Amino acid sequence: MKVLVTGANGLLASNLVRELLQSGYEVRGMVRESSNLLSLKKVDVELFKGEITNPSDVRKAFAGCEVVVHAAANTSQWPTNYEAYKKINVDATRLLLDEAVRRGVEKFIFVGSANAFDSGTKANPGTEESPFSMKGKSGYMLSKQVAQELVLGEFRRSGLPAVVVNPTFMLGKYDAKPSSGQIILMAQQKKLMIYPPGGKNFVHVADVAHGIVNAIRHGKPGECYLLANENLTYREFFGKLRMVYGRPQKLLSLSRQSIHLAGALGSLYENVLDKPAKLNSVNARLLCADNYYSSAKAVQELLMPQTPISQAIEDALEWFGQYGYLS
Amino acid sequence: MKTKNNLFTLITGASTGLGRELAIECARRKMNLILVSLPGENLPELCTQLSGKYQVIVCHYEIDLTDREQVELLAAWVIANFSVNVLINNAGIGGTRSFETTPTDYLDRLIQLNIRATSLLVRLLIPELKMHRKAYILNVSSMAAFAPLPYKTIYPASKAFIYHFTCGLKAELRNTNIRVSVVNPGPIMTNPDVVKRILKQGALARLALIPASAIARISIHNLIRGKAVIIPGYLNRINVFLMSLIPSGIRLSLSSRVIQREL
Repeated sequence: MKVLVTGANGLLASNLVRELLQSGYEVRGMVRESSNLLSLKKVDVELFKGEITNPSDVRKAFAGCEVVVHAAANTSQWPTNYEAYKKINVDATRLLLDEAVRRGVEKFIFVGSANAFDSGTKANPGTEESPFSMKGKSGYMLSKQVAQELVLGEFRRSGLPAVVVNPTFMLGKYDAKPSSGQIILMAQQKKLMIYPPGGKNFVHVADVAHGIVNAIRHGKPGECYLLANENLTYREFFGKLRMVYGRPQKLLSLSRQSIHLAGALGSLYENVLDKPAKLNSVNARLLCADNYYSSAKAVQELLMPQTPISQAIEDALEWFGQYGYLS
Repeated sequence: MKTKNNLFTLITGASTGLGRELAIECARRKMNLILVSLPGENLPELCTQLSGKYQVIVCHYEIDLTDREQVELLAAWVIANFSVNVLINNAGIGGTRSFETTPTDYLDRLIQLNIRATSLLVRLLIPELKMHRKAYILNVSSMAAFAPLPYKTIYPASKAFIYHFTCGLKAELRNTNIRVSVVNPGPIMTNPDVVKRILKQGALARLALIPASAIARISIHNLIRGKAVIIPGYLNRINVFLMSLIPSGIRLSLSSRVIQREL
């Protein structure tokens, strides 16, 4: 059985491609012409170069594939407005759905974001049943939410066997860009790490890849699965990094007020100069929030593994070290 | 937690002279190596020696770089098997001869090695170098690049090519992850023949003479710092400056006298 993976060179997809190959699937990875393929080096995968926004590229990429995992997305943090993400995150998803319906694929797996559901507290984390509120969400989050609705809507309309997976914050090997691994790269060079008051759910990217492979067989069409693991405050997370790597040596907490103030200043800077600031009011709010989720459903129904986050940190550091990312 | 390094440095002409010293310097800095030279130059022995002494991975590839097909095979082999973030184009030939009696085969080989092989390797490895967080290209030119010389005719011209090529490339790759440098060494104490030849050139040449190991150290240090043009040795830097002041006609007649002592 052949699986098409879009955005195959990304952090999750490059892990997924390996996991699929190991599980005996044939894989076609769709990447852009300009993609950095370091994360797929020495992986024996068929690559298809094209744009997911181009109908003829999409048609060619689908040929001969029974399963599609749509992992490609614009995940940048800036700009914060929805329009900037619509073309790649929403319009291209529509295009892929139409092609999937036309071809009658056996499974269409959409890689969404955990933020499509409201988060909860540690005691009462967000689940697939949690509502979604627009308040305080970035343009990226909104675009992923809209795309998810398109996928679920297509299931209701035509019965397309579509499954949505919603990973939280992924860490692990092959983060060539680097994407979420930036948090490790930033912290590993610091003696003193100033951390915000919030926290979020962290997950080993290999567990997410494993969950998606299982979703091909066991994912119920029309369902969403949060692929998550440990709910950690930022203090707990950097503490784990220190245990593994020895740095950051000292942790210092930053108050809610000062982060919001810095965020407001950052947003002002962005509005005046039209350039990304290190912090703006949207991500300031996120840094202070408790972004906690539960993976109970995925663990039960998709047999998703729950590898400790310290292992994910270790794997990320090992790969970063091998390829000259560590200072 | 200690992490191992999976990145490699490719050095051409690594069996002798400056190339060998560059290999030693890189190994000392814990860089894994792919060493390239002609067959039969004891490259495997050097590899064993370096990997044992500095605890790095050292691989080798024996090839005639004047053969275009072999250069392309080398690049394909490297890309398929390694992650390369440093490329050092050191291989080159040169000598002092009267142009009208130089065998045409020799002319052709000099151009193919000094000019074609360097250009091809850079071109073929740029996609690989671009993958990495930081990547470096070091091309070895010569002080000779700054002045035309009688009886050396095409050698300085080939090194001037390397100098111009590298400076242009650096500007072209300015906004990428690849840092590009050219090193213009003066006379180097590589093998006894070269030393003897240089000593014939007189007292000033002797003063400018720097051990190859020092040139290697200076080159790698400045490559990583991102310096565009590396001229090892104060005297050589002064020399380049002075040469730029002297009209080329006078410069040529002065250098002719020095070079003729070598013949």
